[in-house]
Amino acid sequence: MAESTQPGAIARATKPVSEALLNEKWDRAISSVIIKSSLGLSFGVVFSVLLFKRRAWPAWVGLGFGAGRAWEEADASFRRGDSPIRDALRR
Amino acid sequence: MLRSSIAPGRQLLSNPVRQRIPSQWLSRAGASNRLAGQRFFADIKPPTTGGPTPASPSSESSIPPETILKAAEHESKLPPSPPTPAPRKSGRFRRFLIYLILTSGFAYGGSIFLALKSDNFHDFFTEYIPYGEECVLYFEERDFYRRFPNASTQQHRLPAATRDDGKPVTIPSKSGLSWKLAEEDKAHVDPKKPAHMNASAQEGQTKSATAKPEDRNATVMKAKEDTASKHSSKTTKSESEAKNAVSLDEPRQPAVSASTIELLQLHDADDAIVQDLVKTFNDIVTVISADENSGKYSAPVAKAKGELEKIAEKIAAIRGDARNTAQEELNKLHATFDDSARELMRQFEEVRSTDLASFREEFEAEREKLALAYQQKVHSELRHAQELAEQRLQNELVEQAIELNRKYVHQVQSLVEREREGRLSKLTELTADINELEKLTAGWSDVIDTNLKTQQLQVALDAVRTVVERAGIPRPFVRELVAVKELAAGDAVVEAAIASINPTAYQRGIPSTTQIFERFRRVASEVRKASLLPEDAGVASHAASLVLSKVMFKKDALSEGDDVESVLVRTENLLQQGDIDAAAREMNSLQGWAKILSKDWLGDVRKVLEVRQALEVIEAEARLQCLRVE
Repeated sequence: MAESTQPGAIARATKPVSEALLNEKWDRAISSVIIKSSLGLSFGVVFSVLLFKRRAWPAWVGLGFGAGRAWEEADASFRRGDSPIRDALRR
Repeated sequence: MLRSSIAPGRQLLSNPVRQRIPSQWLSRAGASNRLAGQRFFADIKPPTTGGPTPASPSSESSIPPETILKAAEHESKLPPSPPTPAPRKSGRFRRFLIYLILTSGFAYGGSIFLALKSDNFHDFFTEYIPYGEECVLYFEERDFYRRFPNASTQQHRLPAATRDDGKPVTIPSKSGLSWKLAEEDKAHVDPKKPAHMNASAQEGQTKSATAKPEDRNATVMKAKEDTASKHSSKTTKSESEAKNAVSLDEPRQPAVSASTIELLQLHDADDAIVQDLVKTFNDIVTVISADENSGKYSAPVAKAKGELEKIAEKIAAIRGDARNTAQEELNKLHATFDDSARELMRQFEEVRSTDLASFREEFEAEREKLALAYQQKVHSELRHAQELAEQRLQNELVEQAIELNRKYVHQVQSLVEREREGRLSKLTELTADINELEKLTAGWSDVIDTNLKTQQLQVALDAVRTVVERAGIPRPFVRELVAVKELAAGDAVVEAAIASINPTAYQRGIPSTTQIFERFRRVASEVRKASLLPEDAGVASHAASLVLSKVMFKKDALSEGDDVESVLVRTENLLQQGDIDAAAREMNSLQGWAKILSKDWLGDVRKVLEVRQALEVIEAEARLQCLRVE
């Protein structure tokens, strides 16, 4: 199986296999959620610390903004069918 | 020389110089030529040394000529002599005239001298200088006289002789009197023409000497007659002649008989001896008559005369006898000559006849010979002609033989050709049969070849198939396919089949059925996850389908549904049965995300299917070929 994976990996490098399409989308969506939510959270934390006297809600708002943004991206990628493969993977 | 003589003369024509010149000339002339020197003495008479020149007034010159002569060289260096005290009244014209005359005189003198010496100058001088010829002639004549002083008389005589040419013609008439030499001298010698007279006289003498005795007698007779006539009356001749005649005649007077004797002699005038006798006798008679006492001798003289006559008669008689005998002899000789001539004629005739006969014989012989030769020639010609004709005939024969031979050869050839053609046709038939057989064998060999090819093709196909099906992993089978293609060798069906295969299939190989199955399982799980997704699903729907698909029930294989789950099950069943084609059809019926997800797998399956189909086609083709050949 190790031999068979190699050409598969090669094929994947050039063109992702069709059955792994959704999995990848999922991976990307999750990662983006995490990054963006964290980013929003961090922004919110910073804002809360700087502007809002360490209040919690700016952090949550920030998290929400990030998660929302990631969601939206994932949703767009899922809706676009296999086209997000090009957009997301090829960038 | 000319220059040396004239130059000083021009320099000064004074006395001293002029005196020097002659001396110079003399010395040089004497040295060079004696004759010229002599001539010069004649030429240069006037300027004798010491004497003053008549032309120039040098007598009054201060310098005496003797001193100048001694110191000639010194004088040349001296300045020009003081002007001569010439009469100045007459002036320069006279001086000029004098100079002119002198110069011309010297020039003429010198040139004459030169002309006498050199011939070239002589020619030049006599031709171009006026009076030059006369002068030179004069001097030449003088020289000539000096050399031959007595030339003048001869010179005078010769032209005189030429002048009086006509006269001497009359004189020879008297030349016959040979004994009158003195008379000739006295009477006929002309002082003006002595040479010719002498010559003519001599001529006459010689003539008389050479004359025949008859002539002489005739002349003597004439003389006698003349004297006789002179004695009678004729006195027209010159005195001297007359005297002579008288002096001769008078002594003869008493000897008138002498004339009778001579008359007697007339009978035999031919006899010279008698004449001589008469002559001597006459002389004696004259001598006797000249004597005073001639009467004494008259009787003996008469006796002698008689004797003489007798002698003459005797002589005449002897002569007559001799003549008669001579005549007789002559006659005899004539007769003998006639005889001999006749004899000769006869002999000649005989000889001629014999010659004629011999010639005729010879002629005959020659003719015969010629005829023989001609006949021989004709024979030889004929023989030649015959030979030629025979040769020609032989040649013709040979030609005919050659022609016949050729014809025969042609005939034989044609026959052989015909025969050969007859057999050749059979041969060609045979060869055609053989060709057909060969074709047949070739066809069989073709069949075998094609069989071999198909077998090879099948082998190659088997190789391909093994590569395609039995390999654990997808392996490229380009080489096998190339072999197949080559073996097919341009088979359209095979090529089309190969062309239908996706290039990626044989470049990367195709997955085996097991691999396809495994991959289907993976694809099926993924597809199941997305089985509940709507048409345009978002993240939420995806997540819902993912979650819900876990809890879904598995369906039976024989379920008749159009949903994703039943399709998947049926496909799995089909795959388990090994019907890839049907499985692919089944999968192809999926819609939406399920189809998108199973796209790759479907491509793979299609590739495999293509390859399989192509292989099957090729195999069928090969089989068909095998069948076609047979």
